[in-house]
Amino acid sequence: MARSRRIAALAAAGLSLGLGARSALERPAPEQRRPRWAAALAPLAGAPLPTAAPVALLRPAGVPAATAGPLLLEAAWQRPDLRWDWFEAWREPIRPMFLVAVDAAPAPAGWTESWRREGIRVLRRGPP
Amino acid sequence: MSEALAIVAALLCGAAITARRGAPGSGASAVVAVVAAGTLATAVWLGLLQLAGLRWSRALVLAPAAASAVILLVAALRPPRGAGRAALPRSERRWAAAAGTAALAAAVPVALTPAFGWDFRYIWGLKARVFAAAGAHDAAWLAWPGHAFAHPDYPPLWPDLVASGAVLGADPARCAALWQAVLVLALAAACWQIARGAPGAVRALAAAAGAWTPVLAAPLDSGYAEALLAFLAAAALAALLRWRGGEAGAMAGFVVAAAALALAKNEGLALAAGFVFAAVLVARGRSRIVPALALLPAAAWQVFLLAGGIRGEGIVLSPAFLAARTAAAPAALAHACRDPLVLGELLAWALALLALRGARLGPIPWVAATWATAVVVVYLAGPADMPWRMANSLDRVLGAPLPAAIALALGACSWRGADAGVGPAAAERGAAGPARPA
Repeated sequence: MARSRRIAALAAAGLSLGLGARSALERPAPEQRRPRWAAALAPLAGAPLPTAAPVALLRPAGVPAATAGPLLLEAAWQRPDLRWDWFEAWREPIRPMFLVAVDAAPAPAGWTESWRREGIRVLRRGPP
Repeated sequence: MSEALAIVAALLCGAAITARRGAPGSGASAVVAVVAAGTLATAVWLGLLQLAGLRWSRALVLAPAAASAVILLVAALRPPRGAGRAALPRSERRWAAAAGTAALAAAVPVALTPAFGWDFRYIWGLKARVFAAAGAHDAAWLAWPGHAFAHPDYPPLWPDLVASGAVLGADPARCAALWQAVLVLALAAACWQIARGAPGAVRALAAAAGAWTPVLAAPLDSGYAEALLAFLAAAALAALLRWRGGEAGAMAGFVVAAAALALAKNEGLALAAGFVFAAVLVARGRSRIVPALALLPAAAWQVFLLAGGIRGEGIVLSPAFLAARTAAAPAALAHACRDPLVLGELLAWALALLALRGARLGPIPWVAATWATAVVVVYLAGPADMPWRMANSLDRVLGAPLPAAIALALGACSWRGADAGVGPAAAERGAAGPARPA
């Protein structure tokens, strides 16, 4: 009994060591090291958006909703000082004053471009 | 530089708190006590600043470290009280050095790789950046519906540790990596402590297995909270074993480790609740209140969530939903087990439990039971797709408490040449039962 318990304990430790060594040798996929939208959204760091402002993110044309999630996550990582959500997710009574677009698609009606850098546009609600 | 400064500041606080409690028994005990107290002190201090309405700043983050440095300096100038730290026998020192080398081999690559894992970037590290930018746990950001992906309800210890570095100007990814390396080393020390009744070679194996536990050093989980969770679970177990073995002074260390554990992750909260329940079962009379104090910081976080309207994902208790989930669980588990890591961890757990068969563990099985119940409830009743969730988290769920379980198993066996320790093996070997503190 005591011997079998010792063998089991040693085997558990050995197995854990082996699994640990194996998992330490795993190589992450390139997109894990550098997320897909990281480069595209990097200019957001310089966008003139006031701290704590609610900001709507416009889903780029050609990117389906099912796969667009990482874009919102990356926007939050680039500007953690803002309140993010998708443009289509806003509900009254909150009305975001800023909209961020990452492609050149036409702006929705009622929004005017106020800043642009390397494909990133900031739009403000209202006429120019 | 700022990354290291944040960690040194936390460890100085931990050292000062530990020094106030008197010299710990060994080098491993000191490492465990200092790191556990340092992590908890950081979160508690940041929480107190927020409660006082003070925005986190460089000066305020560093203030406790400065005070701690003074306390440590004064303590160093005073003549030592009592017998001081017990030196290890020469043979033990050799094995301790071997364990340290194995732990360093695991920790150094972790320290050198800035954290980049998905959950770090979009959950833990993101919240650290948010908190650092706001100078507080930003309730408005956490309650924002668009930020539900970041699990706003998760306890704040890991983001707080990284945020304190970010407030000092550190890169969050580098700060997380350095912290994780420290935690891997501390985890090895905690496992060495848990296997206390075993000979040096076995304790060294426990420490090495702890440091090399799957998922802690895995690049795919870079920057995740599991290293913190694994360390604090092992630290709480080590303290509980010492306390059960008659070291009344170990209760303070237990409360600190369990309190930090409850702030580490939702699984940590379940583990901490189990540890507190186990300690309350062992304690007598009015001293039962002491272990329960460990849940106070987590209770404060829950009040903060409630007051801020910050919601987690909740659970679904509809009988039809639960029945469908239960029926689907075996297939989801089988799917998750296609990952060799999950399969290996399940096997390691089975072997550890086999080794613990017949050991006099007192109330410790309650800890495992509480944790396992919480895990099953979340998988079955959580609204997220169960096969997806299991496939993406089961390796980490099983991996985090595994080092403590293996060290406990190694310490619970009878080994030739073992010292009379305070672990389950020692209780089994000679005592009429677990010693109870006065």
